[in-house]
This record gives sequence, structure tokens and C-alpha cells, in this order.
Amino acid sequence: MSAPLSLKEKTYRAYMEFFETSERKRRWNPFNDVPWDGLTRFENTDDDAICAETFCGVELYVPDYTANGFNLTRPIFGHAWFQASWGFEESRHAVTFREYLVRSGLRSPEQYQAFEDAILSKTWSLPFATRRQISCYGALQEAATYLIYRAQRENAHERGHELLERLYFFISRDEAAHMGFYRTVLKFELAEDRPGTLSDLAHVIKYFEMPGVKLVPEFERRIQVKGVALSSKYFLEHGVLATLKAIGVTRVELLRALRLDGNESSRSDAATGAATI
Amino acid sequence: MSEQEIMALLREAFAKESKGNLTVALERGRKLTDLGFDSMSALSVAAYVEDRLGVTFADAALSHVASIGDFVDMVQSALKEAS
Repeated sequence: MSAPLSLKEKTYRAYMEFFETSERKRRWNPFNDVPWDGLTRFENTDDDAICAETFCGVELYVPDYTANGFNLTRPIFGHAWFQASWGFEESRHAVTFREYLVRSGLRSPEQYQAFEDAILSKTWSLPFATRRQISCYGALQEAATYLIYRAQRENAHERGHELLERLYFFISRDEAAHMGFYRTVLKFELAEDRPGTLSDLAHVIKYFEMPGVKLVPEFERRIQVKGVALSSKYFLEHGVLATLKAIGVTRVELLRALRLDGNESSRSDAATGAATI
Repeated sequence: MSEQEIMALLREAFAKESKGNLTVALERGRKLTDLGFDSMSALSVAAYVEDRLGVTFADAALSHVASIGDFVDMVQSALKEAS
């Protein structure tokens, strides 16, 4: 699957900027930079455990995310290498959540291992088929993740839980950088093929679902805990509409593309129905 | 613009969005989800109303619309700001 030279060049530059910034300003060490020594001074609650465990569960699918991502992005150096950096950073998040769960005593090593085994007994598959659609998905999914972790950091700050505040500061900052890269890539895609990109964006928004929904055990129970997920209203305003604004797409453009996508789906359903009669 | 006129416009917008399948009366207290509309549908209805009235709704206001009453209030607020 080839890509236009201009897209390759722009994505290469965007990746180098992302990488340089991450090296200079965003590298953090989960063992030295999170103040673990003071962990037991703070109140570590069951809700903290459910949040961290759920987030850890989603992050643990990094091998699937990166394997599938590499297959799609390989023709574009900048995007493929972003995938590699992204995978490393997300794996660091999983390790950090694991450290928190076990060091706090909220989960024994055996309980954590059982959870990890349950997670890894499933595999994550691409929710969408093309690199551009996955970029649309990534922009929204990283926005949602950033918003969730930012809310956790604010909550920790209000409670005076310095360790969780620090932990979620580092992790949310990474997610903001990921979100930024995907938004940049979408701007490039819009410049190359605006109608096609709008069509993909509409399709992804229509069928968007966070990865944890089908993969993390007892997800329905977990999202009852405040902070595990976002309300649809909050995600609409701060995720979807904020993304549109960031990439220069109006609501009217999106709605037009959504209507067209709805017509395409109906035609596809009708064709399928005819084929099975 | 009176509340009745706004309601009539919303009826038109929701009927269009539901492709003529809107069978329930629109009342202030009616939740959008009870009418079978999700947040994307609400955006679509909002776009229709914006186009007809020449107003623009703020994203923050839009994302908080959960009922017909919320929609009416948002329209009234936008009209007031535009005048």
C-alpha cells in the first residue's frame, strides 16, 4: 500500500519533531520519577485499583496494537516509527500501572498475574481497515484516553495524592503528545484528499468504541466507577468536537460526510441482503 | 421568535433527521434518547436549525443538550446573542 510522496515527507518531519520533543522533554522513568517511597502515606482505594487495573488492561494490548499498526503504516516511515515510539510509551504506562497496583497492595502479585493472563487470553483486532481510518480512530481514542487520565490527575490533586497525581501527569502528557501527532497526520490527510478523509472520519466517529469495551474483563461493572470512562456528552464536546476544531473540519462538513456514510451503509446492507436471498 | 415557533422548527428538524418516522410529540421534558436520537443526531438537528436561523451554537452548549427543552433554551440563547 503506497502513499503520496508529500504525505511521506510531511509525516517524516512530524515524526522527527515528535521524537525530538519526546527525547528532550518527555522521557520519564517509572521507577525513579514516580515517588513510590511515599505510597503508603496516601489513601489508596478500591476505586483507584479498579481505575488503574482497567487502564492497565487496555495498555497491555500493546503487542496487538503495534503489530496491526505496523502492517498498516510500514509504507510511511514517519508513521511506522511513530508506531514504534507510541508502543514503547504505552508499554511504559502498563508497567507503571502494574507497579502501582502491586506496590500499593491493592492487588497481590498473584491477583495481578491472573488479571494479566485474562487480558492476554484475548487479542485485539483492527476496528477499521485502512491506515487513514486508523489515524482517525487514533486521534479520537488518544483524545479520550488523555481526557480520562487528565481527570484522574485532577482528582488525585484534589485528594492530595501526590503519587497518583505524578503518575497521571506523566501518562496523560504522553497521551496528549500521541493525540497531537494523530491530529497532525489527519491534517496532512485532509490536504491530500479532503473528501476521502472526511468520509473516513465520519465512518470512524459513527462506529467508534474504546478498545476496553470488548477486551477488559467485567468492563460493564468497571465503568460504574467514576473516572474509568467518559460520559458521551463530555467525549462529544472535548473529544469529537475538539478534534474537529483542531484539524479544521466544521460540524457541517462532518454531518454531510456522516449522511453519505449512512447511505453507503444502507446500500451495502441492501446488497448483502440481496446476495443472501 | 416565540417558543412555539422554535418548537415547530425543531419538529421539522427532528422529522427530517428521522426520515419522516417521528411519531412522538415533542415536549420540553422529552429526552432525546427517548425519541431514539443520539448525540450525532442532535448535531444534525442543530445544523438544520443553525442553517435556518443563521445562528451558530457553541460546542459546549451543544454537547449538553439532552432534552427538547435544552434545545429550545439553546436556540433562544443563540437568538438573543445574535440580536
